[in-house]
Amino acid sequence: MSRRLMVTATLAAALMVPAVAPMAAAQTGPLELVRYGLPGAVTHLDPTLPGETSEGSTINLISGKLFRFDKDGIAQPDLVESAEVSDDGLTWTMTLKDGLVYSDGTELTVDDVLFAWDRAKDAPPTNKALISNVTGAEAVDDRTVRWTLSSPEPDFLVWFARYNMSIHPSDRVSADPEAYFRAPVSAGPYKISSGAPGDSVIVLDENESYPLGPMAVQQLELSWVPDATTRALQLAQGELDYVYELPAQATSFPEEVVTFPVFLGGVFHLTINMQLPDTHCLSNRDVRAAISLAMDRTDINDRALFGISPPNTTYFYAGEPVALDLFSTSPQLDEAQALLATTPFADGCEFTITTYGPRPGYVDSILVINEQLNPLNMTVTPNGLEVGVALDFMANSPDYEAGWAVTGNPGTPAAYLASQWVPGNFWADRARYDDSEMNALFDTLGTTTDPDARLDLIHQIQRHGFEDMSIIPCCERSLLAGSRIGMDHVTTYRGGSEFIVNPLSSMQ
Amino acid sequence: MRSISLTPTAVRSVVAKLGQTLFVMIAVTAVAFLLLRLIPGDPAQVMLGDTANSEDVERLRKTLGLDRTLPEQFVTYLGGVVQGDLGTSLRTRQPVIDLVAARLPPSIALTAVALLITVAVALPLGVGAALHRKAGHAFQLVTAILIATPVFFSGLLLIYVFSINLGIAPIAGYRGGFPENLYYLWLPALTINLVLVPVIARLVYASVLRTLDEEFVEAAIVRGVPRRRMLIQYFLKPSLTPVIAALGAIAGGIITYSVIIEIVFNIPGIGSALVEAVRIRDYTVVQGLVLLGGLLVVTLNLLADGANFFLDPRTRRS
Repeated sequence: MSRRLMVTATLAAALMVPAVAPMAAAQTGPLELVRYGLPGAVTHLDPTLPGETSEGSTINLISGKLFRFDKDGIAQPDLVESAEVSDDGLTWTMTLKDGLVYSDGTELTVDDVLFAWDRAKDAPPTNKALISNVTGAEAVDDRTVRWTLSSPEPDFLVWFARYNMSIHPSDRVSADPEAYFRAPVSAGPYKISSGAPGDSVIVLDENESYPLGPMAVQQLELSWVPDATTRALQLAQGELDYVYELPAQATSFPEEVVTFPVFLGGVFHLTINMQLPDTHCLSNRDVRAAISLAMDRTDINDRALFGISPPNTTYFYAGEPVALDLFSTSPQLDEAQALLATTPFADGCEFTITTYGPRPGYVDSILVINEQLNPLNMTVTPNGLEVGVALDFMANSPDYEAGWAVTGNPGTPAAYLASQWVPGNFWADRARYDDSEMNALFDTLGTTTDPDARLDLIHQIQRHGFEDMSIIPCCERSLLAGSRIGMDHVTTYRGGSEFIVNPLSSMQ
Repeated sequence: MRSISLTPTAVRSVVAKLGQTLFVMIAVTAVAFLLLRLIPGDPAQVMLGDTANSEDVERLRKTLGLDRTLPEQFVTYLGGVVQGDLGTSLRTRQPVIDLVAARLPPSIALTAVALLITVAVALPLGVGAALHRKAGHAFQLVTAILIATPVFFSGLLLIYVFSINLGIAPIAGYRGGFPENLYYLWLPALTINLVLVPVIARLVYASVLRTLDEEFVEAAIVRGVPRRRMLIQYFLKPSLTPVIAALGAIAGGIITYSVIIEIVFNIPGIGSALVEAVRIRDYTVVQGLVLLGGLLVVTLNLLADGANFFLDPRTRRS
């Protein structure tokens, strides 16, 4: 029996059993307990170590942060009372709120902030683009810290909302970081009441010392459930209240459960190897454009991506205001054929698309694309590999022709575009892309502070990317989540993959 | 009780076995080390994901010591192993020994429960099927079907029956401490037993059938040995030799099944730790777990040889 049929049959059977806990969808008051199912374990709580959604989310919840992402993905002041930038954009001054303490009552100081900064700025977790211009950080007084930059960075504050910049007592962390981060105190909305990194269940209680409380949930029970089918069953049976990442093909749940796509701020896309020889059809820009015209993005979403990844027409995820509409969701087969006829590859060609084989829908997407390109006499073969192997293949193999994957979201529009077109960044390297004009645009963007000028440059970058067509976007990067408690108390912030708990004030 | 003396030959045999064990452990360590690094996939890149640029990746590689040559890395690792240090997780910096200590108890608990059920069910089942020939065909058919059924499928089926429909077992999860953990372990253990019991029962079945043809059995029947003593002393005990000898392979099977079972039933044991470590290319954790797994299999084989030496006079004579 196929795994998909088994999942559907098992979940359909679960419908026959009465649900245990009714959903409090309309409830605006605080929830006593939310049992949250995570796909990955919380393996550590040290913000300077590489982590995934489980670690990032938990670290954010149990840490003091100068800024914190709200549900719209906007960095909002958290422990800071004020944040000011000088007119030349080279000095940022942040003042902490008065009377900040950790969950054990000890004082949070500017030394802790500077210590967290020192640890984070040189640590492995990624994308230091936002802080690459920082030349110094110092305490001005016992509540104020000043950062000086060599050139302006308008999105500087976004860095401080990331989990890497999480504040903990400097004396205790410096004494023994490994021991400390197994049982840390908290200046964030929650504190650990039971469990430790690596445990299958970690319980978080609300931190009364957190200045922006109370929170919409009083206690969180984070359960690591590695198997997607098991997560779905536990949600259906009422053993879990909220599940991050259900099997995308699981649609039959009791009526108390609402399922919804979570948009992760990325895009499914085709990346083309721009270093292919001239004899290869993908080396021709018009061939790539014809492929884009022939793609039926709606069809890919419906048939391969379970209908939860809406087609998009830009290089960005939905809702990004700087995005330009450059693509069509509907196929334009006649235009594609006409364009292809002007190239040396009018008779078609064959090529392979590499992707992450185990991920649901990825190989299926390529099969659907193959069907869509057959009228152009093109044959596409999927090359589904384990994720780590695929990453290596795309980066290093001379046989790499094209890849199907999703973009991540480094946090700002400039960084997002840089990941696709600036050498040294992930997707630009997979495409072996290195264009002098594009590099010049990004260099100029890096030194431009005027908002209108920046917007114009970001538009120029997108148009130039469209001209080169090294990347062909398709659909929103998303996954399926499920909840018995509605979507207001706990949510994933727009453009990110980490979940947050909303303050109670935002519910009322 | 007869005394069993160790002859010089036996002592040499034991020393040779220990020497073999040491060689096997070094080979397992080297093979695990090398194979991991031959698998495509850079641990630094996998850990950092697709928002990392090449500078970030190189920086992490250097931090993790992955920029050194393979011989350098291996010598450093082996030197640590000899001193009892299995290294630290590339991802969490936690000593591998600490991770093992945290994740071993659920795996041991699961294995113990599974083995207890196995022994309690497989031995009488195999003996009974051998003594009642008419049931032999049905026995072989049913055990073949059970052995051929994938463990993850039978696991999901058992969840459907016992957790969803009957509500007498949790779908997944584990809470430590005896006897509370039994509530979480019995269904996963049963899932393993759906494969393990048929395997061992068939071994016992075949072995008992062979034993039944031995002259000493016929002689015992002629002498009128009591039934109970006949069953244990003359059927079961001599038939255990191949089962005990297969203990090492069985242990390997339990470890393999446990990996799948721990994922399906969400038990935070060694198996799920290994899967996670392979996924993120946490070399030191994988190496450490493979080394310990190899040590376990080798130790069980040694114990099996030792048990056969004491239990079976034929082994002592040979």
